[in-house]
Amino acid sequence: MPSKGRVSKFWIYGGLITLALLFPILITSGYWIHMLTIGMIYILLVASLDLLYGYTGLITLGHGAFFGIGAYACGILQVKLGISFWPSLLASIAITGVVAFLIGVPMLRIRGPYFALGTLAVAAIIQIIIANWESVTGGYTLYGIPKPSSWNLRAFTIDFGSKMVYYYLVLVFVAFTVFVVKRIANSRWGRAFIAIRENEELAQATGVNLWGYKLLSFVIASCLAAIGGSLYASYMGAIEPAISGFNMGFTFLAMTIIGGPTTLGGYVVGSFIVWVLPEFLGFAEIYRPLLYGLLLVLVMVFMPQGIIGRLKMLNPAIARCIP
Amino acid sequence: METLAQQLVNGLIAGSSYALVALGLTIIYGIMAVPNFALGALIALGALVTAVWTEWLGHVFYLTSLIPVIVIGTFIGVLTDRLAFRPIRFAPHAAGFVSALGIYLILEGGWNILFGPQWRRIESPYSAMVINVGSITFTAQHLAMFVISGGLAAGTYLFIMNTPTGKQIRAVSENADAAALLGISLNKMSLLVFGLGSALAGVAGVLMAPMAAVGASMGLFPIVKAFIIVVLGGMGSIRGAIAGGFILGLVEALGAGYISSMYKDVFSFGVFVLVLMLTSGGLFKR
Repeated sequence: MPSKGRVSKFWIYGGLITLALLFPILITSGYWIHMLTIGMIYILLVASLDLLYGYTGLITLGHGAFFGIGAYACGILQVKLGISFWPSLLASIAITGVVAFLIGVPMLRIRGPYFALGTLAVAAIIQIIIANWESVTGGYTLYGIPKPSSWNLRAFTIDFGSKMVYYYLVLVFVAFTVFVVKRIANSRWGRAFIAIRENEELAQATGVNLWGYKLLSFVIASCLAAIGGSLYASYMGAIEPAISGFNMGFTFLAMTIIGGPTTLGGYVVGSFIVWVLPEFLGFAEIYRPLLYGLLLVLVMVFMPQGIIGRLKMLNPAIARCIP
Repeated sequence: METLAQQLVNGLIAGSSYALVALGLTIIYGIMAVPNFALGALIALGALVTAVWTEWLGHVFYLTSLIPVIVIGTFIGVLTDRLAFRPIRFAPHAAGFVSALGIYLILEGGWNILFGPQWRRIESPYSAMVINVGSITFTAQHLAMFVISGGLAAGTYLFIMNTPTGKQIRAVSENADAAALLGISLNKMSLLVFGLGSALAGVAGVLMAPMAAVGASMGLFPIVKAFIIVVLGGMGSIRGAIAGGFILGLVEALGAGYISSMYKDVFSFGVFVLVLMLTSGGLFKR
């Protein structure tokens, strides 16, 4: 019965959101709120990448480039031009969208593994340009990016300088991003993306404009990544060119694949396994790449649908319970 | 004109080591259609083993480390094929790519733990020997690298083109099903090319070691460049990989000499994206 499914979905989403809202109240340690805030930004990035990887079937190692462009655009506008956070955020989304469009127009004509390699090269080029264009990007580090100024409402003040408030700000944008991704996935566009993922030739034969829809998916995913980048830049206060490089792209892709594409549960599990779990287990920084790599290979060999994808295959009842 | 000749020589020298890695990459791609990113970690392995080998054995000649590097490299190549790539041979293309990334991360992380995160330098008796030919200058180190990589590349080429085993490798890369029908073991050929390809990347690491900062992540840029070469030369093409290596070396040397050395890598990545867009199968067809 569809209504039953809707009711359980309501409870699941409601439960997840309540849990996310309660986290910083239950866990008062500033360190863990910091970890969760960054984890949330990762979830946002994974959701945006999923539009490309999970729905459209494009492997990109260059998603970090758009995260980085978004972060730098938002940071530079604030630091060098003194524009406040909210207009900078909107401008950063627009700038990243334009760059993604300009890169996507030629790149998306490339097919299969060549496209993935091309995105790797694009990420490398963008990282090198950011590192060397010192007069604009600040070279090795861009310092002094402010947090959004606080809101004075009648009864109380919302101060974004507080870690807890910033966590909620990020949470709002994560919910927005996941909503946009899911909404697009269930629309006419989303069906075209999925058709491309399943079989490019067949999709083309049935009248799907391959290049146009790939470009659409690419630009939207990049704009969403720019939101994550802007939030990150403002939160950290200082950013380095490395955030646009392929290490970041690897991490986003690994999270998407390990958790399981096209599911919210996958975004959460993937991000937290890769980001929070090693920290929780007290793994030293040096062991982390080893762990990510091992997870990637194990997931690829034993559960190519990802952890949540595999869980969903066990039983339709479980599948219904996982968003 | 003097600088042009000098830059051409620089390009050929750099190109020879690029070609070696690209060769390893292309034979693996030809057989398994796996873009084996993990070779980047094998380059680092070659250099790191050389560093440790010369530290342990005192002032032993650094090229003797080729022996342990070839043995360990082959072993790791065979192991990765058996454990990570054979189980997903028939999975969609993305799976091989992601597994290869995973193995790269495992190995790079492993080297960091085994060898420590510090960067090292390797002494070579050849670095100080300067050779002048007319107005062109290079060190004996460069000459050794050029001769050894050139020799190995030629040897691999002859092995694949002229021996019965080489013919079997080519048969599998041409058409795996037909080759299997004729009794060629896909598993054996795949183990063979993974071992050979990984050993070649390790050797390239040994040769680069005295000229680079040696550390676990030193293989990342060389492997990305090897990808560029393999795409330039046509994925799976052996002649293309060797020619592509030299072309990229020359492009970089000329770009660095005449345009800007800071943007040297942008130059080669840009050429790569351009070639990808203009051709769909590389400059040299198989």
